[in-house]
Amino acid sequence: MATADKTDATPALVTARASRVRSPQLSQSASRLIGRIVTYTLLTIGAIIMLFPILWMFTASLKPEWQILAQPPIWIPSEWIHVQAGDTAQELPLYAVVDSATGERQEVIRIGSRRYTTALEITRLTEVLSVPADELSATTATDVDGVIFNVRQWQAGDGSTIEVVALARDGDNLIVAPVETLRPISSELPLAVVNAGSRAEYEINGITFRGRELDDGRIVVPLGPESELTVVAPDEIAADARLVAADMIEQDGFAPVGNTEVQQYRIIDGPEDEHYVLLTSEAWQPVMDLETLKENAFVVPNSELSGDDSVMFSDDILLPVRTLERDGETQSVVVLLARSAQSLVIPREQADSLRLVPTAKLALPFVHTMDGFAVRYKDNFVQGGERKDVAIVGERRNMALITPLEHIARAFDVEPAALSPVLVPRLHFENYIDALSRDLGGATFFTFFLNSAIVVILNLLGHFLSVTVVAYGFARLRAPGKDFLFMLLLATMMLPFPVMLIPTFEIFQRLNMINTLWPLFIRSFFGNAFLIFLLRQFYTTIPVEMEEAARIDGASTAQVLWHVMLPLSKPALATIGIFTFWWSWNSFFEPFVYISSVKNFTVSLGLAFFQGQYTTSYHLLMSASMVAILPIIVIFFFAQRYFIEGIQLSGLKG
Amino acid sequence: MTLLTKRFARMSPAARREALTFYVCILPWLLGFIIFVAYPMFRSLYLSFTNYQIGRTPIWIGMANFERLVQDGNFWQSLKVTALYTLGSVPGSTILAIGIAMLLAQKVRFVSVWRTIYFLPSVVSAVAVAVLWSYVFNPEYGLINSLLALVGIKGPGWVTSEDWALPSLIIMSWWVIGGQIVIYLAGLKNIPNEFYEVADIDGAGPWTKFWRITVPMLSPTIFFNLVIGFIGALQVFEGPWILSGGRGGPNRATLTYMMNLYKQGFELGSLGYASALAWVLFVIIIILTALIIRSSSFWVYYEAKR
Amino acid sequence: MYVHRLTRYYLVGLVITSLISALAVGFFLPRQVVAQDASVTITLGSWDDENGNRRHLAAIEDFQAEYPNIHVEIQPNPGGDWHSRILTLIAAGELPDIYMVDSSYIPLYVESGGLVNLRPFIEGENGFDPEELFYPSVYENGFYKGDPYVLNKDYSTVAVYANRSLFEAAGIELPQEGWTYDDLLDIAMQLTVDANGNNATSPDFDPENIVQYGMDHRGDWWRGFQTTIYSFGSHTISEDGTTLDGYLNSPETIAALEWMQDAVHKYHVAPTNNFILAQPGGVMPLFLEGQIAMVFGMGPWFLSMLEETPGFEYAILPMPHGPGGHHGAVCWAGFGMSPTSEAKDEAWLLLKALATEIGQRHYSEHALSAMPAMMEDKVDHPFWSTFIAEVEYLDPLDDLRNPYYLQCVGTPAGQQITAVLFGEEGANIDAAELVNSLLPEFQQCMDQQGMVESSAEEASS
Repeated sequence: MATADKTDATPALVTARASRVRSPQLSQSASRLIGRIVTYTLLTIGAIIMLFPILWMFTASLKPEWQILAQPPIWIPSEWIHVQAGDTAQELPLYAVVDSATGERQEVIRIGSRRYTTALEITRLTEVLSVPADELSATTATDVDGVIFNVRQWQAGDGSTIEVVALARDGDNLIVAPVETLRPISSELPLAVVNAGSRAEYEINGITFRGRELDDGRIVVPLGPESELTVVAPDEIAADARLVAADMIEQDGFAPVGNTEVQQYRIIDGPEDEHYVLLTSEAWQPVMDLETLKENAFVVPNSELSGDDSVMFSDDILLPVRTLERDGETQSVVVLLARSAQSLVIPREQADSLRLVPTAKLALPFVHTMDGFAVRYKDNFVQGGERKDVAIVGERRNMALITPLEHIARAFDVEPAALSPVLVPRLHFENYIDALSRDLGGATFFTFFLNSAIVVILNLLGHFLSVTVVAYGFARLRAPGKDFLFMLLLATMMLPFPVMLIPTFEIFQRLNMINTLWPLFIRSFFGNAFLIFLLRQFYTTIPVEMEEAARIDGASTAQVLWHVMLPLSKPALATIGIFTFWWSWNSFFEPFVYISSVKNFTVSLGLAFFQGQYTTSYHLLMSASMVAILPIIVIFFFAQRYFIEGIQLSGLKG
Repeated sequence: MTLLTKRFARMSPAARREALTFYVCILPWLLGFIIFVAYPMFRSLYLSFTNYQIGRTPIWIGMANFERLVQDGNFWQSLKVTALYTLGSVPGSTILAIGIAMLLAQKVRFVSVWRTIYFLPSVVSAVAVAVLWSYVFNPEYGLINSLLALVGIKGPGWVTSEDWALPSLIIMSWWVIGGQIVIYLAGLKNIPNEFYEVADIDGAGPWTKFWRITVPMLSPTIFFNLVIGFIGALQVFEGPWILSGGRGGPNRATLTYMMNLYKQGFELGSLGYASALAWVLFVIIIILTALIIRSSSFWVYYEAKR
Repeated sequence: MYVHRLTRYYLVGLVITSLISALAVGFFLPRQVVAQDASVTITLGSWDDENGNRRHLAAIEDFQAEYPNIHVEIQPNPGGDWHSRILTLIAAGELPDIYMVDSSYIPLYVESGGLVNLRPFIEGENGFDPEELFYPSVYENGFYKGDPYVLNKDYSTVAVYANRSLFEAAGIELPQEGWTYDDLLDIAMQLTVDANGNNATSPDFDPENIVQYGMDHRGDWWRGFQTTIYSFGSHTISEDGTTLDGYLNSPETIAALEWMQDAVHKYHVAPTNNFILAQPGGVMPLFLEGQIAMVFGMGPWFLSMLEETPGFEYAILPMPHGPGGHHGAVCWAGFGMSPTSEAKDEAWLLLKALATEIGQRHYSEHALSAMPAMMEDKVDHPFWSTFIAEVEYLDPLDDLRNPYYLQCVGTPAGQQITAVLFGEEGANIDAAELVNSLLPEFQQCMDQQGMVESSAEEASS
């Protein structure tokens, strides 16, 4: 190019070239930045996927059982607050609801539920239509003047759209009627009222409708939709709750309360104007602390008891109090369990822990035999935050838990979904204690740990004794047939063990080692193909000169091993140790085949077994899992290097 | 054998001593090999032709066990389940592991921290992993479905659904790829940087660099790990056992080969039949390994040995 | 990392010490130290969990109070694996002197040589009169080929757990004895409600959005479904235990399967099996939450869960009548004696004690007892009364007719028939076709095991 041209063309060309030169640099660093952002993002996502399940397991291990099942999930371990009903043994769960009018959050307890449905007075319906189902739209629950109908749109033949409600099916058709005609003759009724009526049929235009005949003579057909409303009241009313015998109260109609109605009760032979609401009605039974009973109760022949059944321990606890004459002394005793000739009694002064509890909490009691009396007791009975064994005495009675009506002026209906449990965060560490102390048939997790520890230590011993020596042979010594044997060694590494499983089982059977720990460690004393190979490779990297020097000094093979090879092989030995620990701790299939008694289980068997037993109790299961993996994780954090180097050695074929 | 003794006779005393020492050294392994490897293999081959119930003596029945397994629905089902599992688990985990290893191989900060995090799940025992994932996969309360529900998706039944049970197992197997990541990471580090620099100078794009440099250089490692991976996957037991409660359900969707073998041998007590099953598996593994090795000449690149 | 020489020695010393101590502890700990000079020690094997074992221990305590020279050691082995491992234990000669047996396994254990015929003991000098002590139908479940091998520990019958509050809120009266499967369907439809509040009888019912189910089913548990099959008028295997054809695929059996299949897929009153499987703890949490109104409950196993839900009002309903009447299948466990026991007379004393008052006093607190005397207290109990009443309607179990019924029919049928028909994919499967396609496999499985028996006998003769 001519200089003149160049100079003229330069500015544009230079700028162009300059910009071209500059932009690759810019885009290079920009793309590098983007690359790094992408890399870190992906890595972070991956790390979250790797860690989150473990974190999930950890939080689940600290939750109470009901919370694991809660939906939507409650992420933080918490405890559900209950209020005590009066001074009885009943505790009522506390809910929170936001008052839609005031936006205020209120704490309430449930006092019942009512189900409503839209009911149609069929007798007042004059005409219906039979319409092909595909001419109708899907339903939408619509409030029509205070009554909810499942409304569909119907394209009538003349092009107009009518809102109808389906009343029944007729083959591929639906029997419908327009909403306007239905509304005046329908109302929201409690489902209990509707279903209490006797079944009745009514015919319109040859179509038979099945409905119910109510007390007042109306025949209604329930159309739906059903709505369930929970009746709640402020939690203060729980404090006034008390127990009465179930046959002492009777229903006395409905009373309007707040924006709803509740069934009210009055006490038979009680004041006319005192009304109550029924919280629960169930069987209750007297109990007392088992320890107190064991220490103070005794058996007496009935002949030594005087008095009759007129004196009871209390109005609610109908255990007779009698007088006992013995050695010239009289004392007041409460009869806990009576048989034809003898009774189990306890001195009146020691009977103060007697109280009523709902029988529902006393299911599946155990039996303690005392002087021929079978005393039933419930273990770990929880009341007021205390856990005690309680003995079940006396007889069952149906009792009603009631609370005065006038105190619940502010009861109201809510959608069940609007209620949320009142929670307070709490880490339930007791899950761990519970899981670890569970007696799984004569063994606890402590036993499993012990068994695993024994297996691990013996495997370490076995490997260290055998692998070091065998690897040396393959590394340094020459002999005819060595290459063949070495190939055999390599081949062994790839052999799938199922093919050797059953005869090996036979061998241990013949040695009477089934169901012991022996099969789990004895073979390590015969070396391990992979570890031998690993160590052998390592030995070959040690300079021969060191060994030759020792031999010249007259060292035997054993001395060479001990003084030369092993000290120089520390990293490889550490790797062998780590791998041995790792495999032994995590191994499952072999213990599974050989061991059938729980007391010989290793940790992995114990965990699998625990999972089989307590599939329902994820909180315990997760605690047990956390504990089971703890040792290997701790070792991992301290000896990461060896894990990783060992894996690398195994994976990178030289 | 006579060859050996002849050679022995012709050796010098020193050499003879050395050979003796050798055999003494390897004696533990040799004994173990004979007792726990060689003998069992022959014995199980023999047993596979017998009717051998636990507690009784084996009775020779010829090919009957093999005829039986060909007709057994459980056999074919377990073969199918195991094959699908292997095909889903091994390639998938290899790709994921290589991918993550490549991310880590760049100059990332805190590499050892990342490596620890990714390796952690594989440290834990397969049983614990399965127990954990049985909870993660729970369709009502588990982690995955709860998270999906947050975005309004109704998750599938995972382990309880016939269609999703096997995929659940496969997904679980992708979580414990820590070991593979570590291996590939080391493998990647072994690739000399010069190769990449030369490629850069030649103007190669990332894709080309990957296929022309990374993969071939990694191929021996990939090859070796594929073989190990396949052999392992064909013998999978703990995961399906725990997740299906030892039943192989739902409707045998997770009945793997080893589960079927265990049930036949140790629950129903037919040890002869189970031996036959074991040998069939062995043959399958041999064939598969041979195939992979055969194919390796097409795609595995070995650096010229120095 | 350079480790200081002293630290190294210390670590080595630590390792060696822990090694030795672990070995010492490990080898000495499992040895039970028998305190007194008990003249005989016998072992009792059980599969119970900790609560169950406490009852065993309490019974053992009372037994030892009466027989101080017999020391009983309990060998617990909780978990379902117990059954599968019995064969291994028989082979290894490791059976406990007395051990727990599920009635389904009695034929198999007897044929495998794991149980002793108890007739000589019952009729011997330390025996008893079974007619005096036991409900005959319960006692006879321990028989095989006419001889007693297992004495009953406890058992459960099936009844329906019903959520009383849901019944009341919907205004439905609790059904009484004599109600039918049609009534059941009717009530279940009224108690199945979708998210819009429509129950299953309404034309607006939306099966995709059910929030409350009327009832459940037993999923892949074949035993649970046998009650329904018997109630429809058929058994699943011939009386001599050889033939499935004509029984497993009888019109009545198919009708029973189809009834439940329709309940799940056509009327939508019961959830699919997949849905149930997804719940940890099965259906009970759903039941307690009010999401299922009626649950078929095998005995009082669920009572402990009920007790943890205060204020939950329930009722126990009798099983409905099918076209074949009112029948039930039992879940039955007992104790048997090992042929390799070296102290059979002492073992018999323990066995007898566990099956009669000494043991039953404890076991009857959590399950039904074969002794009417133990059940007196419970006949009008809110929990127990219906379960006790169901004893009358128990049919002999199909499992007892063939040693391989459970493995070859029971378990696979549960997984491949009921679980499938009542599962998500089961809506369009023809029940008869499914059963007929599987029947030959089940039959062959039973026959082949039998072949094993005969060829083994040939070999030993």
